[in-house]
Amino acid sequence: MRYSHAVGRLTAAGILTGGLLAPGLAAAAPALAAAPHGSEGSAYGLTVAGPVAVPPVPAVSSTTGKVSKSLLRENHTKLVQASALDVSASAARARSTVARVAVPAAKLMASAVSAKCDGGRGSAHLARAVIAGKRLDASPPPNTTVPVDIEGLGRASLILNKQERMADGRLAVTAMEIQVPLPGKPATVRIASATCGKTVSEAPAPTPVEHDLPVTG
Amino acid sequence: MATTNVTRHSRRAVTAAGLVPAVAAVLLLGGCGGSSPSAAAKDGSAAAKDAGAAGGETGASDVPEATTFTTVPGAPEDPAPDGVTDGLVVHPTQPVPVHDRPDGRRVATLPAEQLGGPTWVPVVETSGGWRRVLLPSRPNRASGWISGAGLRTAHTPYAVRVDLAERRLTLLKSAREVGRWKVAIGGAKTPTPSGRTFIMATLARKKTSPSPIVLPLGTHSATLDTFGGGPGTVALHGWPDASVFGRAVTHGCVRVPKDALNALSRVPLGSLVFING
Repeated sequence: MRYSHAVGRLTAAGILTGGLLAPGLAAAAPALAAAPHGSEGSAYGLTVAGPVAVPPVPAVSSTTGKVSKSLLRENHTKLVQASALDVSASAARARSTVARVAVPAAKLMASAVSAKCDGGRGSAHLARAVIAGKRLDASPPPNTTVPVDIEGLGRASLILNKQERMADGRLAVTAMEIQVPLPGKPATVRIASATCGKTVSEAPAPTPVEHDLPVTG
Repeated sequence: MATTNVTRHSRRAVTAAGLVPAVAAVLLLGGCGGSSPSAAAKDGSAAAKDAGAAGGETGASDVPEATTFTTVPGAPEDPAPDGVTDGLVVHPTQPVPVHDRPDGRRVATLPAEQLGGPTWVPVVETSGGWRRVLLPSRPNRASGWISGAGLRTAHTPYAVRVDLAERRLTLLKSAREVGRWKVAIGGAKTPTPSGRTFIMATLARKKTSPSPIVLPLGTHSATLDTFGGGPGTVALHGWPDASVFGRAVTHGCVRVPKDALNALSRVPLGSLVFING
C-alpha cells in the first residue's frame, strides 16, 4: 500500500472522509490559554504560482488556539504531487509537513518535508530529499540555494529553508521553494510553509516637533 | 574608502565655507529652514566631534551617532537605491549599535531621537535577527545593520516618489497613488540628490513662513556641506510663491504646494522617499 502510512494516520485521527481528496478539519479547539497579544500563526502544505496555479492547500491560520487541517493527497497539476499534507497553527507557532512529495520536472523527491515556526523562529527538515540524484541536507541552514540544471529546460533554482519577513512583520519559513523553468512561463512551487510571530501594527502618524533645522531651501 | 570620503568632505567644507554665507543670509530670512543660530552652532560642533572620532573599533564613544549632523564613514552603501520594501519601519527605544554587516564592525550608534522626535528608520533588508536600515547621516545612501531585538516595529503603507525630470512628487499608499503635485527641485548647481531615503522628522516651526512644517529627509545636498548653519539636510517643505512649482530653483530641498504639505505631514516617520532623475 503506497499510501498506507497516510491513510493510517488520518484514520486514526478520525477525519478520513473518502474520495480522492480528503480534506478534514481537526481539533479547531477554542483557545483556553491566553494568546500572545498581536500574534498569529499560519501554515500551508503546498502552493504553485505560474501557468497552472494551485492556491495554498491545505491552509490554516490562528490568532488563538491550535487549528489543524490535513489533506490526503494533492495532485491537481502534474508539476507537483504530494500525499499526507498536515498543517497546524496557533497564535504562537505553526507547522507544516508534506509527505511523499515529488516535482518530476526537476527530478525532485522527498519522503517528507516540514517547516516549523515557533515564537518567531523558523526551521526546516527534509527526509530523504533528492534532486537530480543529489541528496539534500536534512536540516539546511536558512536560505540555502541549490542550483540545478534540468535537461532540456535549463537552470532551476531551489531554495531550502527559505526564511523571509512578511509585510506584517511575521516570519515565514518555507521548507522548499523551487522555480521550474517551464517553456514560456516559469512556475514556482512552494512546499511546506509555516508563518508565525507578532504582527506589526500600522505606523503612527507623526506628531510635529517644534524644532528649527536649517535645511537646503 | 573612509579616508577618501573624509578628504573629499574636508575639501568641500572649505569650498562651502566660502560659498555659503552669502546664500545663507538670504535663506535665513526667506529660506525654508530658518535657524536658531546658537542651536545650530552647538549641533554643528557636536557633529564635527563625532565625525572626527569615527572609525573606531567597537566602543560607543569611538563611533559617531547616526544623525543628520554626522558622517558615518564605515556605513555600507544602500544596495538597492530604487528598491521597494514591505514598509517595515523600526524605532530604537534606546541607542543601539550600528554595524557594517550582521555581527560585524560597529560603525555608529543610532540614537532613540532625531531632532527632538523619535527615530524611525526604514528596514531595507533582513538577515536572521539583523535589520539593515537606512541612516540619516552622510554620506548619502548610508545604511547599517542593527539587531532586531528591542526595536519597536511598525508598518507604513506610504511611500513618496520625487521625479526630478518631471519635477513631480507622488504620494503612494499601499502602492496606489493618493496624490500628485508639481514641485520645485534643486537647481543645476545644487541638485536634489537621487536615491532612496526616508522622512526623518516632522518639524513644526515657530516662524510659519515660508513653511509651517518642514520634513527633513535622511539625505543631504551633495554640493553644499553646510547650509544656513545646518548640515545641508534636504527636506520637503512648503513655499508661499506658487510660481516655483515645476522649476529647478532650490538649493536641494523639494518645495511642495500647501495641500501636498498637509498630506505629507501625516505620513509616518521612516516612510521611504524615492528620488530619481
